[in-house]
Amino acid sequence: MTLITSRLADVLVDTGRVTADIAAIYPTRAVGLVAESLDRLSR
Amino acid sequence: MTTQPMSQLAARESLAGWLSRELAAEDCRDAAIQGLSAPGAGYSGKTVFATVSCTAPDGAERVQELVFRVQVPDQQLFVAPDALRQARVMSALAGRPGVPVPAIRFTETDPQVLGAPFYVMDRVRGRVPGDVPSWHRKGWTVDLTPAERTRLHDNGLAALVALHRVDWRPGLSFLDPPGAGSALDRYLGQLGRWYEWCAPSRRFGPDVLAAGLRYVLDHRPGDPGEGVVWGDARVGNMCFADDLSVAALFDWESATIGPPGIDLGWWLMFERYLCEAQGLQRLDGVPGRERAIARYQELGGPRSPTSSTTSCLPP
Repeated sequence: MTLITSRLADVLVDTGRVTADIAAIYPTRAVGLVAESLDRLSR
Repeated sequence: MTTQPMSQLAARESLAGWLSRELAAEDCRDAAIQGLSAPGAGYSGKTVFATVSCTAPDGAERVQELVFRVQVPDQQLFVAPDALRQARVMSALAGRPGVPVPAIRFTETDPQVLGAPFYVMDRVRGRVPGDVPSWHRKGWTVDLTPAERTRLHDNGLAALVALHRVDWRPGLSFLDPPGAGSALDRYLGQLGRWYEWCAPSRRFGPDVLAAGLRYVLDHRPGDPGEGVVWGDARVGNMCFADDLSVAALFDWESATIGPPGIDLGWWLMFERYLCEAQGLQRLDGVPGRERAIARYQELGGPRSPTSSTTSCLPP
């Protein structure tokens, strides 16, 4: 899911549907979840 | 496959001629497009809604609401976009108990018609919980009572369980990823290939993504499960009828074969994405992670191993 949001952000920017700063919101959130999970799993 | 962009006018004219031929083959003549609209939703393909009338053999006018899903010619999310594969999945799932999918009416491989291959399905009326903004913050789900939201979520999980109980070998074995080992091994092999293909897009937290994939590969459970994996399991890909039963499951582009826990993990992750990751509080009546897992199993969903796929995929 995190990967697809990153890929989607690129597609949205490349096709002019949203600006880069808006597109970055979604993958940034998803990456944050992965980071949280990795942190939890390492404890 | 070769694809070419078309102007709206050219597409409409081409579509009208194509529909006339297809509906004539069903003994419905004088086809006319009464309305066309493009909702702008969906990223893996272009969606067009069409209202079409034609004359049945008994002289009666038939009005049909159809949905066209056209493969996008570029800017792909996946390695090998294949709109017709989605149609094949839905056709194979049609009639499976508890797994409602839109009826596939036509498929077309010729890119000359609309600029790219496409398929046509019956339009299913209902309501879909939103992603943007999150259905936990805005939209029709906010106006439901907590009990209604519990029923919505429960019905969604029941549909997911029904999908996971489908015997996939007749009719759906084309979804099985190539490779050796267990279904999970084959799934992870496919995921790894896609990860490499996505390399230019790994601009957001690439180190975290790499660590996440590494963790999954290193801690893969010995999960012997094999079933249809939807690939985008969430209430936002479900259409709900007025009584909150599931009217249709959408978006089968990522469907594959693997342990069903992959879908449950995706479901739980997406809930976190639409709630906690946005600083939102889960709406009353919608179960949290532990309750959702328990309910999935109560409804007949397969249990994952102790080192569960749901805690590992995705983390």
